[in-house]
Formats: sequence, structure tokens, C-alpha cells
Amino acid sequence: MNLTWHIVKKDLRALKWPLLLWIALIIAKLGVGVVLLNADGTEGLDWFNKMSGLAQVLSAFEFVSFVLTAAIIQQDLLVGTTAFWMTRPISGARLLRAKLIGIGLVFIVAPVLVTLPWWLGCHYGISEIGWAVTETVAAQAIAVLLGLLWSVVTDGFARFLMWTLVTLFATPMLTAIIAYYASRHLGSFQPELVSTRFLLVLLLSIGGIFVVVVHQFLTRNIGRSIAIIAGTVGLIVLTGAFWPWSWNVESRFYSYLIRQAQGEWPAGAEPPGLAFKLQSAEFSGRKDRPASLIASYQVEGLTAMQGLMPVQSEYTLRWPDGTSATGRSWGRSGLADMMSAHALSGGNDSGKAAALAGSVNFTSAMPAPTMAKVRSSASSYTLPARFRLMRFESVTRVPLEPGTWSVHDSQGERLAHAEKEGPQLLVTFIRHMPSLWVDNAGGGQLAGTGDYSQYFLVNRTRGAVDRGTSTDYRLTRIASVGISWRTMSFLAIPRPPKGSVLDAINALNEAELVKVTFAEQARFSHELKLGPEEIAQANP
Amino acid sequence: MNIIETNRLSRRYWRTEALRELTLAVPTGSVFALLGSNGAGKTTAIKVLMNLLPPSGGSATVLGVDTCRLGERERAQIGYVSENQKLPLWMTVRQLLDYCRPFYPTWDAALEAKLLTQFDLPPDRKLKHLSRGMLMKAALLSTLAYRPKLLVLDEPFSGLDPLARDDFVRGILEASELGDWTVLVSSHDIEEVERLADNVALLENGRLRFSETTESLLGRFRRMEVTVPGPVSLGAPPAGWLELEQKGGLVKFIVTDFTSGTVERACRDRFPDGTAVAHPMTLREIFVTLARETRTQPKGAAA
Repeated sequence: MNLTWHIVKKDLRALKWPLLLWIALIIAKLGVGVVLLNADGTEGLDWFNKMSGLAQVLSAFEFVSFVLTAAIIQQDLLVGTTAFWMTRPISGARLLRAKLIGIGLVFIVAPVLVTLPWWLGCHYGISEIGWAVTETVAAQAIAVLLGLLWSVVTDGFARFLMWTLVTLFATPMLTAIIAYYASRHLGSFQPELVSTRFLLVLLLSIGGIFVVVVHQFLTRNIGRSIAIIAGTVGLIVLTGAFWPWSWNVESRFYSYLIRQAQGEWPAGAEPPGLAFKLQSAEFSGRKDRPASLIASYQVEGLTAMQGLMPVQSEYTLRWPDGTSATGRSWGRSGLADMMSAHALSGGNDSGKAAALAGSVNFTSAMPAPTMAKVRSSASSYTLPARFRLMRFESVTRVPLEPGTWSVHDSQGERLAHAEKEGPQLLVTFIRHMPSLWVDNAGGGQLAGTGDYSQYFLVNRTRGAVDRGTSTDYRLTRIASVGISWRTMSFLAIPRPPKGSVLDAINALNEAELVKVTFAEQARFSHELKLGPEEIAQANP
Repeated sequence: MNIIETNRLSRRYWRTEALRELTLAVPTGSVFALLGSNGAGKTTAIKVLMNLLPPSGGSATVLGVDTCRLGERERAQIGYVSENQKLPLWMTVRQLLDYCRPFYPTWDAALEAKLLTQFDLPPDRKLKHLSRGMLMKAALLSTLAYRPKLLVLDEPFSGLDPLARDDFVRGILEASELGDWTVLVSSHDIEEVERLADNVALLENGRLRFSETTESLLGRFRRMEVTVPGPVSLGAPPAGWLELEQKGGLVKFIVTDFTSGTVERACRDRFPDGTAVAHPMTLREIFVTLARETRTQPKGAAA
């Protein structure tokens, strides 16, 4: 092992400047993130966009890691007969180990270590860091695999670059050709089959590269390695164009994510005494098109200070013939209106808020084939709806000056800038939040969330409250952290009547910005059901 | 005891046969020169012996191990220096030695220091800034310092100016006094090899022409000069006589199997009035004679 590390050290020393430059790119990208988080709010959205663009460019440059991978491999060429290591007491297996350790250190460990302070600074917990590390590793693995493939079968950097460019150009062309034949073969677009083929092609590519790399290191038989590449490409083409069986990978994956998330929302955690009463259920959308089922409920049993916050869940439709379909469902509740009422009353008059507490509705998206089936034969509908039980925490006055970070779990928020402009108050907020693929794609909300708060401009003299409208909003993503710039426009009276701008300005001077916070009390799931009759009635 | 043995070793590049059924034995402790003109198959033979190329046919053993199975243990006992080898040029001489050292349990730090001084190598200069001769010496130093049992030098003199060549040969000679290693050197540079080798093999078009001790080779080749009183009929030369020609009163030829009594008798038979004088030949002259002979023969006849 010592000799293996000796080779690793040699490679890292040989490439120290390019590798340091590459790590500096990552640090520069994170530096842009730090600058964005520390913006004073006067820079403007254009500035935010430019900085965001710079971060994206720097992120793109990180993918030169495929070149660095090749450089590490080709420090000891595997092709030809002139490489120094070949006549030294270094076996192919030892060299492979050394190269994999080197690549792992540079492209897996180093980016993670460099980015770790960033994630910790953004208050990521273990779970979020785990997912962010997975994302970082996966992104780097793509570049590394691309670099590995041609670096082990070429005798120098020029040829490596040429074949890599050929691959980068050929892949989209090959994909287009496969898509063309596949579309002719399939007749109609079958997303699940395409997902299955994509997954298989991905696995074949990774497996093929792995075999070629190991084979070339152990045997240096270039002819056979090229034959393996050609064979793998052939298999990829055949699989991509003709694989006939769908494994429903995409829906299985999303179901898995949601099931995982639902596991954290036990039904047993439901507060006692809650009753869900169906108010209405109806379908929106046109016949034979993707549509939505909107089911509204009134929840009884909440106290005056409690509200529900629905979270994305997975519904199931079951038909009498035993078939079923699943999909995603989003919920809304009266919590936002409750907050508004609390803002106006300063949290003292809970009567109005209580009236709004129990209103909940769920929108379940249904693709066209599901919708067609629902229309022809009514099914039962089951939704293990997930809720966060929220309890009113506080109403606090917010000074109209740059504030410090307010952090709840892994989400942070800061008032960066506030200014009055005519009758409106413009407030710019900088936020950071987890932006993980697993949440963005799967909606699993595996990342933790805690308190929920919202800002309101309140004029108690006139009994007016405004939750504001967003005038500028941009979200960027830097190393799995979402950073948003949002400028909100608040009015102190609901709609300034014509000719009374002065009145609106006066009202603004009387108003104050408040922040209403609800704290999470519990998480639970509650199974909502609709029978075939209710579904049939909802059918337009 | 032979450190290298090959048995009908062949190597083919597509349709070209670079090495044809080479059967060779390199005695342990010898300095063995593999000679031949460009393209004769010397480098191919060495690459197959070093397992840099797989053989197309036949087999070979180095240190008693099949060349296809040479492992880290065997490689730790073999030194290889080649004009074509790509050294890590970004390293300094010292870094090269530091890199190589841990791989060899037999690395001799005192010998390393001695050779570094002897070869007059600047330890802190990067390899890419060394002259070609210095680079070869650095490669040789990184090879000799672990006292390999077998030192393989593939065209080590190519591209070296006479001074560097002399330095290099002197380095090998001086180093050879420090240990009892076997040296296999391939070259078309006969003068340099002559100073080193005690065994010689000649490759022609991938085939082995001969393999014997230098002493025996130099002993059996003679350039003969026979002074004759007038024109004589040369006729067809007997077997073993090459380049038979007459210039005035002097008949010249080269014998390939000189034994004093036999050649004198043959001269007397053919040139009864002549006076024969046998001159010893250098390795270079022998090599040129054989190369010329091969060229004058119809294709395939040399086989």
C-alpha cells in the first residue's frame, strides 16, 4: 500500500498546479455564493443575475476534471511500450489502485472537503450534507468516467482529446438516431419505456467503461479494449433502440422517494380529535387531457392557534378490475390567511384566524391515460396526505434596515434592503435553502424544514394588512444550495384609490412590517379517501 | 546458467514479421551485445523479453520466469534503459531517484551517491532541462542504483554525441566493476559495443545470424591478403570466404572460420606462388562484411 500511495503522491505532485487551479475554481464558485448571500440589496437584480451566471460558468469549468482525470491516468501511459512504469516493479493492479485513489482524492474528497464549510455555513444537517455530497460525487463521476474511457486507450493527450470530442459529438447524434428509430418502432411515446432504456444505456456505459479501464490496466491489450468499447457501443445502440420491456423505473424511483419521506410522517402522530370532512371534489381540465382532481376538506378539531401545512404526497387510484395508478398530489391550506389575520391582530385576536385554520385542499395531477380511464370507469382514490401541524408562535416587528440572518433548520433569510418608493415599501430578502435534486425532482422533502414565517405590512389604524407581491425574484443554485433574491412590494392600504397617492404614502408612514412565525408541532399523515361514487360525481 | 533464454521466439506486427523464431541464450554474468542494422529486430526482441510486447509465437524466460508472467519481484531485479523510454521529465534528478528508490528493496544509497558524483549529474535540475546524454545517464543511474541482476540497454548510444557516448560507456564499464550483473545491450553502434561485450549475437531481418563469445567471433574472422606474382583465376570462392577480389598483385578476402593451418593450406592450394597474411578484424569490420554479404544475397537466402 505504501508503494501505491507513493505513486499517488507522484501523480499529485506532477499535476499540483492544474489541480490547485481546479480546486480554486470550486472555491471561487463558493466565493460567489458568499458574495450573493452578503449582498446589501442595493446591487439590483442584474447584478444578482451576473453573479449567478458567473457561478454557473465556474461550475461548468469544473467539468474540465475529465481532462485532469486523463492527465492523472496518462502520467503513466497504458498504451505503447515506452512508458517509464512498464519496466519498473509496478504491476497493473497496483497502478490501477493508485490512479483510482488519486482520482478519488482529487475529484471526490477534495470538492467535498472544500464545499463542506459552505454547506455547514448554510446550516445543512447531516441528511442534507449526505444528499449534497451524493450530488457532488455523481456530477464529478460523469466527468471522471468520460476522462477515464479514452485516457486508458490512447497514447497521449492529443489523441485523448480528439476521441473525447468525437464521443461528445457522436453521443447526441447517436441518441438522435436511436430516438428516431425508437419512435418508429414504438409508434407512440412511452416515457416509462424511454426511462428504462435510458437507465440501461447508463448502466451499460458505466459498466463498459469500468470493464475497459480494469482490462486495460491489467492486460494492456489495446486491441481487446477497443473491441470491448465497440461491443459496448453496439449493445448501447441495440438497447436504446429496441429494448422492449418497461421497468417503470421513473415512477418506481419517485414512489420510493415519497415512501421514504412518508416514513417520517407516521399516521400515529396525528393529534387526537381531528376530523377531515369532505367539502367538494371535482375534476378540472378537458376530456382526455391531463387533468387534476381537486378535493377540499374542512378539518375540525384544531385549536385557535393551530394550522395545517400540507406537504406533497402520492395518491393511488384503484379500479374494480384490480388495476391501479399513482401520482403526485399538492396541498394548500388556510394557513396563509391565518397568518395574515394574526399579523393584523398582533396575535391577540385569534377568532378570525381560527375560522381559517381548517381549510385544506389537495390537487392531484393525472396524466391523460389515467384521466381517460377514470372517465370510463370510476375508481377509488386514496391519498396518504402528509401534514405539518403548525402552531402560532409570534408576530414580531421588523425594523426597516438590513437585518441579521434568521435561520430555521437549513433555511436562512435576511432582510437585505428596504426603501419606500411612493406608496409602496420595497423590501429585498436574501434567502438560502436546500436545493437538492432529490427534493426538487422527487418532491420528497427529505430535507428538514421547521418553522414557517411570512412578512406582512400592517396598518392597524386602518385595519389593512398586505402580504406583498413579488416584484423581482431570482433563484440560483450553488453547490446544492439555493440562493434567492426577492424584492417584495408592500402597500399600506389594499388598493390606493385614484388620486389618493398621498393618502397611500401617509398610510405607509403609519404602517409597520411584521413577521408572523408558526412553529412546527408535529408531522403526521392522514389517509384521505374518496369512493367510486364520489369520483364519479366529481367527473365533469 | 542462462539469465535469458528464448525458444523460437517470434513477433509479428500485422503482416510484418519483426522477429523470426529467435532461439538465444544469454549467460549469467556476461555482457551480451545484440547487434544488427536498423530494423533487424533488436528492439522488438528486447521489448518481448521485457514483456512490453507479447510474443506472437515461441517463448522466452528472463530470470527463469516466462516473460509474459514477469511480476514486480522480477522487475525489481531488472534494469532497463532505452533511448525511447519516456522519463517523467517534470521531475528533477533527485525526484526521479526519490521516486524510484522505494520500489527496490536492494536500492543502494551509497552507490546512488557515488554514481551521482561519478556521472556528474546536477541533482536539482529537471530532467527536461538535461541534455540527451545527461538524460541517459540519469536513466542509467536510476537503474544501476539497485544493483539489478540484469541490465538491459536498448540502443543506449543513439543520439549521443561522441563525448556523451564515451561518458556513458565509461559509466557502464565503471559500474560493471561494482557488481556482477548481466548486461544485454542492443545497438548498431559496433565500436561502443566492442568495448563492452564479451558475447555477441547478430540479428538480420528478425533472424539470428549467430550468437557466440566476442573472443570466438574475433578469432574466427580474418581479413586475408595474398600477394601473388601475376593475375590469377579467382574462380568461385570456397565456403567461408567472403568478398574475394584481386587488385593488381594482391588478392583479398575474408575468412569466417579462421584456423591458422586450414586457411594457410587452402591459400597454398589456390595460390601456390602467393604469400598469405592474416589480419585480425574489428567487430565493426565483421559486422559490415556480414551486412554487405546479406545485402548481396537474394532475398531469403540469408535464412
